[in-house]
Amino acid sequence: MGISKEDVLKRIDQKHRTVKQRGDEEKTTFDKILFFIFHLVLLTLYSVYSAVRLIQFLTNKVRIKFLNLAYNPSKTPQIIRDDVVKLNKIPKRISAILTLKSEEEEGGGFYGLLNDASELTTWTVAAGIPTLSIYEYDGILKNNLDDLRISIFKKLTDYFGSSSIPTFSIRVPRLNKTFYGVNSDQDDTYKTQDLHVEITLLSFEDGKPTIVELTKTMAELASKKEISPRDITIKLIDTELVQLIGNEPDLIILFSPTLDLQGYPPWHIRLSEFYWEPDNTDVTYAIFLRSLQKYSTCKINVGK
Amino acid sequence: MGLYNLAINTLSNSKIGQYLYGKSNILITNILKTGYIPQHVAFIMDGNRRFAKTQNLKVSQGHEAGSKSLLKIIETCYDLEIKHVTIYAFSIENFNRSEDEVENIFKILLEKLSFLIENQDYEYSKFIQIKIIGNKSLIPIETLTKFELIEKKSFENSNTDNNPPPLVLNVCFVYTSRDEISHSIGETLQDVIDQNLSIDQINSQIISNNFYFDPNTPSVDLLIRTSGHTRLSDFLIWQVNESNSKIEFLNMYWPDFNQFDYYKLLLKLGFNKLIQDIKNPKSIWELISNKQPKLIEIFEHFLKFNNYNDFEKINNQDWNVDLKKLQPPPPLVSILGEKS
Repeated sequence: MGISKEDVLKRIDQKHRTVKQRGDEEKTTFDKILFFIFHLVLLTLYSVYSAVRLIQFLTNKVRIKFLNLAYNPSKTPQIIRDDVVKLNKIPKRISAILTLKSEEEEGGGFYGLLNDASELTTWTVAAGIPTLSIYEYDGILKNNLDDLRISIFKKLTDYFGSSSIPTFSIRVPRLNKTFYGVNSDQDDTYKTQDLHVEITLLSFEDGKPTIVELTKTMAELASKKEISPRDITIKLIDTELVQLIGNEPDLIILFSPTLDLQGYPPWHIRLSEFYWEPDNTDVTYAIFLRSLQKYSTCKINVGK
Repeated sequence: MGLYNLAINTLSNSKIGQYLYGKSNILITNILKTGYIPQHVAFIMDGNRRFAKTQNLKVSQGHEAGSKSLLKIIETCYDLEIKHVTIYAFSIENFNRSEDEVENIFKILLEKLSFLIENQDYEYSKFIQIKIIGNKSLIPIETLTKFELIEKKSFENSNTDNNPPPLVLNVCFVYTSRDEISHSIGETLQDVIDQNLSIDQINSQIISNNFYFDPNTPSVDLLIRTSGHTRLSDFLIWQVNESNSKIEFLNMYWPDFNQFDYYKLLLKLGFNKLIQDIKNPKSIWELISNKQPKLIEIFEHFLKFNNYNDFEKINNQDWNVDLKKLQPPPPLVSILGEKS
C-alpha cells in the first residue's frame, strides 16, 4: 500500500488543524453537529456489526454442535486414546479454566461444575496426560473437596470399570496439602505408586495475591538482612512459585466463549498455549480433543 | 482474499486511490473517536520473518516491512487519541537468535526511532514520547546510550507548551514479563529496607508500580498479537491476566497488518463495550441460544446411535478397561521442548 510523502504531509496538515481545534476550548455548533453525525455513523456501523456478529454466533454454535456430535467419547477410554494416538505430541501439563454457570442453565450450578471437572479428569487420564490443573475463580471446587473426590471417583469408574480404577491425587496449593484417591489418604501403597493423574486446584488467590504474599515473606527476610534485593532473580521466584503453585502448564484450555483469563496466575501463563472455541460455553470432549490437536501442531521456539 | 488485496493495491497506487485513502483514514478515525477508544494498546509484532519467507525476501527486509507497518499503526493510534501504545520490540529470549539478526534488529529499531523523533519533515515527531521499557543492564552499553539519547530528545520534543499531551510509545526492549516481575519484587524489597514502605502495605498495586513502566500508565485495554500464535511469550503476563484486558490473536503476519484491520478490531471492542454497558446485556444472546435451530435437534436425535458403546457396555459383562493395556500415548512434550 504505497503512500507518498506529499500525502503524509497533507494529512499531517489536516491533523494540525484538528489539533488546533482541539486546543480551542469552546466547541462550535458546527463541531457538535459534526460529532453527532459521526456518532450516528458509528452507531450504524455497530448495528451492521451486530448483524455480522449474529451470523457469526449462529455459525459458531452450529459448528460446535456438529463437533460435539462428531467427537463423542461415549464413556470409552479406548476411543479417547485412539483419537490421541494420531497426534505427534501431547502436552505434559494441561490446565483448564472452568466457570460456575447459573443454576438455570443446562449443566450449570455447583453439580454441573463438579461434573465438568470430573469428566475433564477422566479424559486427561484416558489421553495419557499426567498433570491437570483446574482453575476456577472463586475456588468452589477446593472448598468442596469431598464432593469432588467422590465425583471424580465415580466418573473414573464409569469410564474404566470398577476393577481397574485409575489412581489420582488432588493438590490444593493454598492449603499446601495433597489428597489421594477417594479416601486413600492413609494408604501408603496408594500414595507411593505412580499416580495416573495429579490434579491441582487453583483459584484467584493463587494468582497475583500469592505473588504479593511471596513478596511480603521475602520483605520480612530482607528486613532481617537474610536476603538482599540483588538475590531476587527470575530463577528464585520461579522456584518459589513452582513450589507454591506448580509448574507452568503447556496448554490452557478455556471453556469460555472468549479468551478471558479471569486472573489466572500470571507467572504461569508465560509460554502456555491458549485454546478456546469462540461462543462455546460447555465443557465437552470435542473442545478438549481439539485443543490437544492444536497443541500437537504448534511450533516450540523460545525466543527464536 | 487475493482479489481483495489486488483491488486495494491498485486503488492505493492510483492518485484517486491515494486521495480517498487519506480521506477515508481521517473520516474513519473521526467516526471511531466518537465511541469507546481504549487508553492503552499493546502489540506483539510477530511474523516478520515468516512474511519475508513467503514473499521470498531477506529476513532484514521482513523486519523493514514490519517497521513500516508499525509506523502506520502508531500514526493511527495518535489520530485516534490513544495515549499509550506498547510494543514488544525485543525479548530477552531473542538473544538466542543469530548475532547478525540481533544486530540488524537493533539497527532497524534505532533507525526507526530516530526517524520518529528527528526527521523535521515528519511532524508526528512532536507528538510522540518514546520510553524504553526493559532490563537496561542487559542492553549493550553503546546501544543503551543511543536509546537514552532518543528517549531524552523525544521527551524534549513532545513536552512543549503548545502541543497537546503526547502519545507515549513504550518500546519493550530487552524485556520479558517475568524479568519485570522479579525486578519489581527486588525494588519493593529495597523500599522496605530503606523504610519507605512497611511490609503490610505491599499489595499488587505496589508491585505493578515498581514495573519498568511509568506508574501512571493505565492498564492495558487491548493486546494484539499477529501471526496466529495463541500465547503471550512472556509479554505483559501480569497486565493482561484479568477480564478487563482483551487479547486478540490475529491470523496474519505483522507486515500485513494495516489500519483497516485495526479499525475492525476497535469497532468490535467498542461494540462489545456498548453491549456491556447496556444493563442487561445477555438477554438478546440468551434468547437466541435457548432457541436452538430445530434442525440441529432433529439431526442430533438422528445421530443418537453415536452412543452405541453405552449400549454395548451394559450388555457386555467384561468391559473393564486396564489403562496399561491401552496403546501408549504420543510423546509428552512441554512448551519448553522438554521430553520425558
